[in-house]
Amino acid sequence: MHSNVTSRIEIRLLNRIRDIPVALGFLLFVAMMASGYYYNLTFVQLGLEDFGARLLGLPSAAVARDMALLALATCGVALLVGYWMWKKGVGRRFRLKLQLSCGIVALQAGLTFICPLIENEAEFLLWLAGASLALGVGVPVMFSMTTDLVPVRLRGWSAALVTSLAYCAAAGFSSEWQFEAFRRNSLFLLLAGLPAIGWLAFSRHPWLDALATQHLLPQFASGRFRRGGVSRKQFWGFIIAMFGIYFVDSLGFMRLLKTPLYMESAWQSPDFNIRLFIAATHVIGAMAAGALYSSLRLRSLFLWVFGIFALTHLQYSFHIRLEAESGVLSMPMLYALAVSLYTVLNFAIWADLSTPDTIPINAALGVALSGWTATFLSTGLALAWGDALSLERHIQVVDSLAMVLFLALLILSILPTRKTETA
Amino acid sequence: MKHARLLMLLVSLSLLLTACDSDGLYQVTLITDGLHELDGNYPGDLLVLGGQAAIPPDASLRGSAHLVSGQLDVQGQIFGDVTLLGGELHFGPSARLGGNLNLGGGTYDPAPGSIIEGRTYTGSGISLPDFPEQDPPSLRSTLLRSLLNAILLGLTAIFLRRIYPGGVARVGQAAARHSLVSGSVGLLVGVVGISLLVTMAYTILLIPITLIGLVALGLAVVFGWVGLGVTVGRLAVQVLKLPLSPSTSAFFGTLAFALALGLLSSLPLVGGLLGIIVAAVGLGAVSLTRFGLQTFVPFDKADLAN
Repeated sequence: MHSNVTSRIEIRLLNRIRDIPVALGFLLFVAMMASGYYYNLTFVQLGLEDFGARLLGLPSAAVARDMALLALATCGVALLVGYWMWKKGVGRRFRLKLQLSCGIVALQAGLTFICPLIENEAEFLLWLAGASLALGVGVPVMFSMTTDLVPVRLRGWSAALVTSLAYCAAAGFSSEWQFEAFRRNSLFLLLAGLPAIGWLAFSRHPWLDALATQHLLPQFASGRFRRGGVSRKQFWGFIIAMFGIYFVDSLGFMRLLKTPLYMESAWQSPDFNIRLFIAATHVIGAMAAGALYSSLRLRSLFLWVFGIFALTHLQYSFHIRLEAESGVLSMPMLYALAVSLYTVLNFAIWADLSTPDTIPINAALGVALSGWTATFLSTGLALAWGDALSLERHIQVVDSLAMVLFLALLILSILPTRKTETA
Repeated sequence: MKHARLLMLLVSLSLLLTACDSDGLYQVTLITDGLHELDGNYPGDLLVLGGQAAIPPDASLRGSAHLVSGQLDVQGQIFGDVTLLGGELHFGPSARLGGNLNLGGGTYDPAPGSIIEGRTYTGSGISLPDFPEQDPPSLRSTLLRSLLNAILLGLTAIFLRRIYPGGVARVGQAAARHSLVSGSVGLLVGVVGISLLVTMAYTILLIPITLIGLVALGLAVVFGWVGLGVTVGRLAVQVLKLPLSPSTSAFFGTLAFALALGLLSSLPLVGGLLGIIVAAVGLGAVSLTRFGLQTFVPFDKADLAN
């Protein structure tokens, strides 16, 4: 009896020791994705808009147009690179992906460093072309590392950690939402990460060799939704749903960003406790989504996201109509909850719909087509509507859009599904 | 038999209506948009959340007026109080206020000749009803109350265990075996549910739905606690090999669970958080099992079973 127990403990211990490289690979993925997402979230989406409008003095329509161009160029580059990686089998070449990542980080560090030297719109457009190249290559390369580094059963949790870290840093420790502050933080992150990723990309180590072959293991190779077979219709359904979520989010948030009452009482509050509360909500929301990702149907999670967005915007429209003079913390709390839920979905589903061969193109289609395009098109639209629509009307339109998407998904969820589909 | 129980329940609930009296009817007029002129002797209170309201010289308002946003032009008489929190309040030369004027915000513009019979309170000077200060409850009364609550919950567990054994078992199973998923769902249902109910209450018309929703949410939390308590009792019987009937084990399990929860909730710093977590797990288990109507199987496991 005693020897049996001892041998069981030894086996568990051996498994744990053997899992350490896997755990380190998992942590590497989380660190890379969280840093990359923080950069996109702060410097690219918020910082560049501030740079164009405030420092270059461009009219809001011009900034909107330039940001839309960045989105479309990023989307195009991502699709081209994703297609190339798929055709050339780069999805299975871990070392090459690390080297490409190193190049992306170097390019982004350089671009972020020289950004203040830009003096006019022509230079800004040239700079955006470089940025879209880095971002477009980054999407399929970084996302395709999921099949190398994250076992299928942990994908919800890895996405939850990435989301938590990125939003916790962005919401909790960015009181000054200006280009200079975002650039400073991003440069620090990029320059600190560059030597590390350089070492990983160009050195030989048994651990890296082990990570490079993990995609061959069944627990890494075939995503959760591959088990029953994924229909093309289902894949495009996810892209449309994610596009809708990103569009609704950015369309509302970019207008709220211009409303001092809502920003100074929440995301940009001088009170650290309020920012900490929002950051904690992001973390709790992400962790809840991580726990629910593998246990609930994805339709339920999408319904939660659309439902929360509809409720949040309804609360904002009530608040605007009442002409209240102070913000209410429940609205940004719900907003943060919805954002964390869908970000976790976005970080997990594309890999779970793919194999190591197809992940570059699926991630490019998923992230670039839904995430990037929707975010920047809606950002452009929000900037353009800033002059044409009142705040109340703007938020009502966003609320209606979220409600329509919620109801459409509700109707779809009642319809019967194929038994082989698992989403 | 089930119909008879339902009928009894409905009759019992309808008895609550006897508490209502026709003299106790409360009437309020809500204005959110547009221009409205009150005529004659207007009963009840007036609440202005937007738009413009006017009381002409020959009209009167029996109750009080509350201005949150928008405009209120008073030329006639108001018998109650007027409270200004936001917007614009104008008192014409023929305006007469029987009660007090409370100025908390907004713009107040009185014309010469307007009469205020009561007192005028400004900003933090608004008088609030005095509540006698209560001493913090003694340890003995706290313990007694916790024990009574636990006994009540234990009796509820016996009742539910007898009339709905499958449902209680399914809720307990979901809460105990899938605590993380239950807690996550419970958190979402709790946070979003309360926000939704509060938002509905803003519309005034949906206040009854809000009340029903709050009761449903409370019942779900209690059902979740019962599910967890019954599971505690069942596990205790299995581990300690106690010769107890299912109802007795449900009672003592729930009693022990409620006392432990009360004790943990009273811990400084973490106590409140623990209470919220346990309530979320219970609420999530009830939501996942649709009030105990179906067994919760995590989707990855259901998928593998297919």
